[in-house]
Amino acid sequence: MKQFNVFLHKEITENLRTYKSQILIAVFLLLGIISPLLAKLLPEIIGSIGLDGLAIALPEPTALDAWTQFFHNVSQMGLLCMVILFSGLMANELAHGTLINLLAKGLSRTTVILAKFASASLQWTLAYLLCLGTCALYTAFYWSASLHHGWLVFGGLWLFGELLIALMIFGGTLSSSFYGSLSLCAGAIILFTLLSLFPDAVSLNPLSLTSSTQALLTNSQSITYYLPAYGITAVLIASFLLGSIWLFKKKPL
Amino acid sequence: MFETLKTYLPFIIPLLLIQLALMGAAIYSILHQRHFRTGNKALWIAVSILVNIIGPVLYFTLGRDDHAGDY
Amino acid sequence: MLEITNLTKRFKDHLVLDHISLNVPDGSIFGFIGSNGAGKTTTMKLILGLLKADEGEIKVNGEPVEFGQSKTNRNIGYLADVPQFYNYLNAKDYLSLCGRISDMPAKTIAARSDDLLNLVGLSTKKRIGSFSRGMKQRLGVASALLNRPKLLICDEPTSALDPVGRKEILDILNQIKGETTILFSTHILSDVERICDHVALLNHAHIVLDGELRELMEKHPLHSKTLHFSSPADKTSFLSLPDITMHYRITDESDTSITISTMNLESLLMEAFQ
Repeated sequence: MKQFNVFLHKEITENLRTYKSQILIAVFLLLGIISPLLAKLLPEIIGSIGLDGLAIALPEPTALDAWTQFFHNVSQMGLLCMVILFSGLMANELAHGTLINLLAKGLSRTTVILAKFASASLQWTLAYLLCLGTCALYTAFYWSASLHHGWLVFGGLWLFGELLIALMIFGGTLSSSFYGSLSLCAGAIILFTLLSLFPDAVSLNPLSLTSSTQALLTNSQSITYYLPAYGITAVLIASFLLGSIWLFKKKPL
Repeated sequence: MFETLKTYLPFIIPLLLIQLALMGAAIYSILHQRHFRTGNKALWIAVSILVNIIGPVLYFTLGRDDHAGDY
Repeated sequence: MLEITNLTKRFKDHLVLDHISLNVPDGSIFGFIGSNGAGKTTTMKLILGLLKADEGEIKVNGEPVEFGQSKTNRNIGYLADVPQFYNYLNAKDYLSLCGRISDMPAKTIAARSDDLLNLVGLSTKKRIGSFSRGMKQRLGVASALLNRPKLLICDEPTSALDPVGRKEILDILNQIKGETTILFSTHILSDVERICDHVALLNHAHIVLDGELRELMEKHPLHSKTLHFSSPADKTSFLSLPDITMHYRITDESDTSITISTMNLESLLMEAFQ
């Protein structure tokens, strides 16, 4: 436990001093502001294009539009930024050999994996909450509407982010390279996308965690329908972490 | 026009602040950096100032060499 | 301190170590000699549990080493041939990280890092990213010695350095002689004879020579050279050079000549006249 705290502290220092945390926070803060702004601006933009003679009835933007924008932006721009920032998490250390000295000091390999996962999770959670909070503030200020399913609707995207972190650690341990880590994430997302072509598998597909939000927001589907996907994602996270530990212990350095 | 601007002021001010903070941090880091993973000092200063928000983020992810150990 | 029995390691079809056995006695400075690619680094990584042995056993301080585990490493200080650090930390931060990982109390860490940074001459607050190769090597020595290891393993600590850097590292190793057992790999023979008391020579996956340096030197008189001086005064002044009598075995021949046991007379003379 002591080693875990020490290594976690090292990870956080690293992310602060290489500005990774600050960038992640800034990007997510921006997404939190831009999402309600886009929801508000979109009708005006469409209106200003001015299709002559055609009177389009533009619906007033609602809180729902802001949250749709939020999920759209975070699941694309946000996750992309996070993956780019964290792909080097395991890979950089293995490629540069910086861990050798610490392992020779008696640092346990299991601790390395778990502390790296904890540090990335912490930053992802913080950035996500900040983005969410910002968007919620604006939304509450401009519109008043309560959400179907309350806060539960935000859990899926968060869990999917955790899955990507576990995947990056596994990919980095496996390949010792930034691009290996990045490609494993991309590969997994392509696989999940292909899987989503089968309507029967939607309730099992981890990608549903991010794509189901519209259905949840409009209350056209119940959250229990997606429970298997949540379960599978949680199992995948645990397996990729255990897999990383197992792989790392077998890895000659 | 001013009325429209006023409506969006709550969005514009924080966006501007974040943009300035990112730009400031990027320029501080660029001036202290001797090696770049890609590009050079002049290019990154231009990108950070001219490209809003994305410029500094690009610099920190692609231009800054973590292993050069500067600031 | 360190016992290696029948250690074998293959990389694919290439046999790097073929049933080698080695015993590093307590308190010795053990020179592990071999040409580049002879398997010195492999042996050291096996001792640290960073690589998996195909056969054989390694015991550090009586405890067997297990691959992937780092339990036995608490007795070991390791200096890699090109040590890699976190560039965003400074030397003191880095030593503090190492100290906390090996579970040293905070006060001990602070005091010990100050001492060691003094010893290796690194009192800078600059971040490691701006360090030269020699400075990183010296930081490596400091981090290896931090928890007062019973066994210090140095992988080619001098080969990447210029003559000044080499001398600095050898001087540091000389200073800690007696405090800890040192296993030191190199392909530079003059470094071995300057500080080691035991040597083993690794060649083609086998240990071909193993023993105390003095005995080996006497058995192989090829390595003795006779020096002739023009006057007894010259001889006296040569012998009064500080490093000479400390590091080399010297026998008087006559008023104006001595026999000196060394494998590399040129480098000795270079140093002497500097």
